[in-house]
Amino acid sequence: MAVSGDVKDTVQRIGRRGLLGAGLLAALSGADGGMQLQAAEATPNPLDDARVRTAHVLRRAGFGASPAEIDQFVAMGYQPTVDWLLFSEDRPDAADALVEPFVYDPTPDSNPPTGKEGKQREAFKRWWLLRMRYTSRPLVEKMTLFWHGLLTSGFGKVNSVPYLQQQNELLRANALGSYQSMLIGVSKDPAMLLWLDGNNSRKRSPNENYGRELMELFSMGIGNYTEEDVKSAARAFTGYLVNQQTGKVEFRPREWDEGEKTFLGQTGRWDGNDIIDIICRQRTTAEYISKRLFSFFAYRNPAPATVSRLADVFQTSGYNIRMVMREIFLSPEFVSPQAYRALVKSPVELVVGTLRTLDLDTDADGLPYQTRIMGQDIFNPPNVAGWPGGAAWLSNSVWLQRINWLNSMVTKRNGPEGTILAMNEGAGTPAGLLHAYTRDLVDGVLEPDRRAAIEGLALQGAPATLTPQFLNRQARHAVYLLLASPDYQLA
Amino acid sequence: MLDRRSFLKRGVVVVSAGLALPSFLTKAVYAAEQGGMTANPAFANRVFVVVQMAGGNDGLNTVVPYTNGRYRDLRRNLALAADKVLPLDNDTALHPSMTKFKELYDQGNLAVVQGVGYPNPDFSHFRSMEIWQTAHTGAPTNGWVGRYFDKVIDEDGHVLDGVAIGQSAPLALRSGTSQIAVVDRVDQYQIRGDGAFLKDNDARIDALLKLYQSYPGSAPFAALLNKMPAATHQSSKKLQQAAKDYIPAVPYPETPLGTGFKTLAQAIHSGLGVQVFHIGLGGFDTHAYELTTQARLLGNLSDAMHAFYQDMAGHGRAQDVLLMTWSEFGRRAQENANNGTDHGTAGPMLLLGGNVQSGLYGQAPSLTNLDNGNLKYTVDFRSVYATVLEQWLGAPADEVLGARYERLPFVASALQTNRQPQAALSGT
Repeated sequence: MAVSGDVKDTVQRIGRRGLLGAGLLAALSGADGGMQLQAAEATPNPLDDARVRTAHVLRRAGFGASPAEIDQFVAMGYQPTVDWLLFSEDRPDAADALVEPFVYDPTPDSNPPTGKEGKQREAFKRWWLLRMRYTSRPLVEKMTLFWHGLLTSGFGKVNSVPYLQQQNELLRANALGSYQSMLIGVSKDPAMLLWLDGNNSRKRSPNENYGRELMELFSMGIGNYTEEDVKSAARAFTGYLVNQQTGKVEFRPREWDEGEKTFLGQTGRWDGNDIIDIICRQRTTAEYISKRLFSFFAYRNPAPATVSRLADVFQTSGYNIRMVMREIFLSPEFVSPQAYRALVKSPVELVVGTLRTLDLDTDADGLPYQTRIMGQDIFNPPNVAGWPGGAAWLSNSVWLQRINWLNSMVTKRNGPEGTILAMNEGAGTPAGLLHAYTRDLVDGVLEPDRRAAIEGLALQGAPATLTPQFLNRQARHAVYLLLASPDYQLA
Repeated sequence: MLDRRSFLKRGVVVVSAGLALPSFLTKAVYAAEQGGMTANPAFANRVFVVVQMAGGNDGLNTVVPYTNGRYRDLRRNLALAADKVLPLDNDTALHPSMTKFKELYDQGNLAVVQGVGYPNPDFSHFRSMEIWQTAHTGAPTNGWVGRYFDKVIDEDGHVLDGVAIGQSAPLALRSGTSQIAVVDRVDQYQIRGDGAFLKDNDARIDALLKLYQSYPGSAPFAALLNKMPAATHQSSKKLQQAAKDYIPAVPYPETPLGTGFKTLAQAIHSGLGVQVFHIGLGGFDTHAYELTTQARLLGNLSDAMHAFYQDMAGHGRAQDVLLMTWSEFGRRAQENANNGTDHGTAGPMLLLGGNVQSGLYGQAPSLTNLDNGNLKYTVDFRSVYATVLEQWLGAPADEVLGARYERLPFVASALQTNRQPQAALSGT
C-alpha cells in the first residue's frame, strides 16, 4: 500500500529527526478517520531504525548507554552487539577496576550502638549499584538483578550481609550458565536456607517452604505438582544446615532423610540434587523459566509458540541460560513493535540507566534510599516472589519519587546539570539541541503533538543560537520533561 | 455530597430503574429494603484506620491477666505489678503506660478483643503478617482491604482508595487496581519544581501532565499513564492545602507516630474522599529487655491514637472514625532467658471510635492449656475483619473474606440501629 508506506517513512523520519511541524502530524495520523486507519495499518515499528533497536537492546540487556556508546554499537551492528553483551566474561570488567570491592567488617557494633550494621547494609547496596553503573558486562549484572528478583532472598529474614553477598556472587557466577547448576547452588546457599527455612528443616520435621517455592516460583509454576511432591521434596532437601559460626553450609548426614520418596511419579532415595534433576527434566520447567526470562527482557504475556521455541532451546542446550538469552535477543519478537516500550523500568533500571545514559559519575551515596522509596529496596524484596514490577512501579507515590529524583538530576545545585546540558553543546540552535535530547533520552520516538508540549515550554522566546541563558532555563525544562515523560519511564 | 460511600444509596436508585447490579450490591440493596434503610449521612463520612503494631506485640503484657497466679509464674521477671496496671475488671488490666487507652475505655470508646489468632499459627513475622494482611492462610493473594476496594464501585472517580503513612503500600490495602497514596511526609508527596525558575513551575507541570494524558492509548500501560499523574497531582494539591490549613483540635505527640496521625487527620479533612487509612509502629519484636521497649511503644501508641481521636472529636467526627490495631502475632507465654519473649501466637486487638462499644470481647486465652508453650486463640482475626467490613463499611464481608466468620458486637448499639440492614443481613 503506497499510502501507508509513505506514512511509515514519514513517521519514521519524524521519529528520528523530529523536524516536522505538528500540523503535518495531524494530517498523517490525527483526527481524520480514514487516515487514522491507514496509519494504523502501517503500524510503524520504531525498532526498524538501527539506532532505536540498538538503544532498545542496550536498555533491556543492560542499563542503557550514553549517546556516544550507542553510536559505537550502531556501527558494530545489531547481532555483534548482542554477542558482545552475551559473551563478555573473557574481557576485563571495568567495574572491577572502578568499584572498590565490598568487604564486610564482622566485628560487633560498639556499645552504645552506632548503627554500624545498617551502614554496612547501605554500603553493600551501593556497591552493587556502582557495579551496575560501571560494568562493561552489563548483561551479567542485569541477569544478576533478574535472578535476585526470581531466586530472591532479603535482609528481612536472612539478616546477614555476608550471606546475601555470597548469594549475590552465586547469582552472578551462574547468571548465564546452566540453570540446573544455578538451582543446585541456590539449594545449598546460606541466605536461601535461611530465607526459605531450609535451616529449620530436620529429618524428623522437614520444613516445606523451600520445596514448595522451588516448584512454585523457581521451576515449574503452580499447578504442576501435588502436596505429596512438596512433602517429598522437603524430605529430600534435609541435611543442609548453616553453621552460623563459620558461615558455611554443612551437610549433616544424620539430618538427611535417606528414605524412599516418590516425587513427580518417580520413586527412589532422592536427595536435593535428584529432585532438581527430576524438575529440570520437566517440560514445564523449561517453559516456565523461558516465560519468566522473556517477560522480563522482552514483553509480558508472550505467545505460547514463542515460549515453546525458547523452551526447546533451553532443553536441547542442557538448560544453558546464555543460549536462551541469545534466542530472545535475536528473535523477531524482541524487535517487534510489541516489544518497544513494553516494560516499566524498575527503580534500579531507572536510576542506573539514567546515570549511564547521561554518563554521570556517582559514588552511589543516597541511591539505595532512592530506589527504596521508588519501591525497590535491593536485598529486601517485598516477599518470596520478588518485586511484582510492571504497573506497581507506576503507582502514584512511587511515580512521584521517580520524577522527583529525575528532577533533582536536572536542577539540584552543584549537581550534574552541567554535564547533562554539556552533552549536546555542538547542537548549535535551541531546536537542534532539543532534537538531540529527544534522540538521546527517548530514542527520538515522540509523537509530534507531544513533542510540541515540550517545545511550547522550551522554545518559547528562544534565541537563534544557544546561549547560557537558554541552556540554564529552557533547556533544563526540556531535559526534565523528557526524563519525567511516560516514554522515559518505560524500557 | 456524592462519593463512593454513598454507593448503597445509589444502588437503591439504580435498582428502582430496573438495572442489573453486581450481586453484593443487590444484597445490600435487598438488605436496605428489608431494613427500611434510608440515606445515612453518617455512613458517607466513615473512616477506617488500620494501625499495625509490627514485630509481634506481647499481648499478655498489653492486656494483662493481672490477678492470674499462672501469669506471674510464667513471667517471673516480666510480670507487670498488680498495683501498677490499669484494671478493666477483676481479671484484666491494661499495660501501665496505656493511660490514654484506659481513659478511652472508661469513656466507652475502646473495645478490647482478646485472644485473637488463627489456626496453625505461623511463627515467621513475614508469613504471619502476610496471613493477617490477606486474611488467607493459603496461597498469597491480594490484601483483604484491597479485595474490599475491588468490590466498591466508585461512581465519581475518586483519585485514591486509601492513604498509607509510611514508605510502601501495605499489603492489606493492595489489589490489582487499588490506588494507594503512600505518604511518608506530606511535603514529599508532590511534584517538585525547579527551584531556580519557580514561576515556570505551573507551566512545567501542565506540560508534564500533557505528556502523560496524550501518551498513545494503545500502548502498554497507557491506561495507567494517561490518568495516574493528573490524579496524583490533584491529590497532592489537596494534601498540601490541608497540611497548610488544617488546625488540629488538640496537640499531637511529637513522635513519628504522632506526626503520622496528624497527617492522617489532614488527609481525612482534605476532601480526597478516602475512606481507608493505614499507619504503623514497629519495634515490638522484644526478644530481649522487653519491659522498657514495650512500655515506650505502647505509651507512644496510646498517646498518638488518643490525640487523633480527640482531634477527630474536636472536629465533630468522633462518630465517623474507627481505628483497629493488629500485630502479626503475640509472644510466647513464658518469658525467655533474656528478659524477653519469643514469637508466639494469639494477642489482643483494640478498636477505638465514637461508635465503638467499650468492653472486653472474646475469651482471654488460657494460661494453663497451652499449645507447645503458646496461647490458643479464642477469636479468629477474620471475625474482627468481618465485623468491620459489614458493620462499619457496609461491605459484603463473606464475599471479601471468602468465608463466613462470626461477628462481634463491638460496633455501638446506636449505630446498629442506623445499620439495621447490615445487622439483618448478618443474621441470615
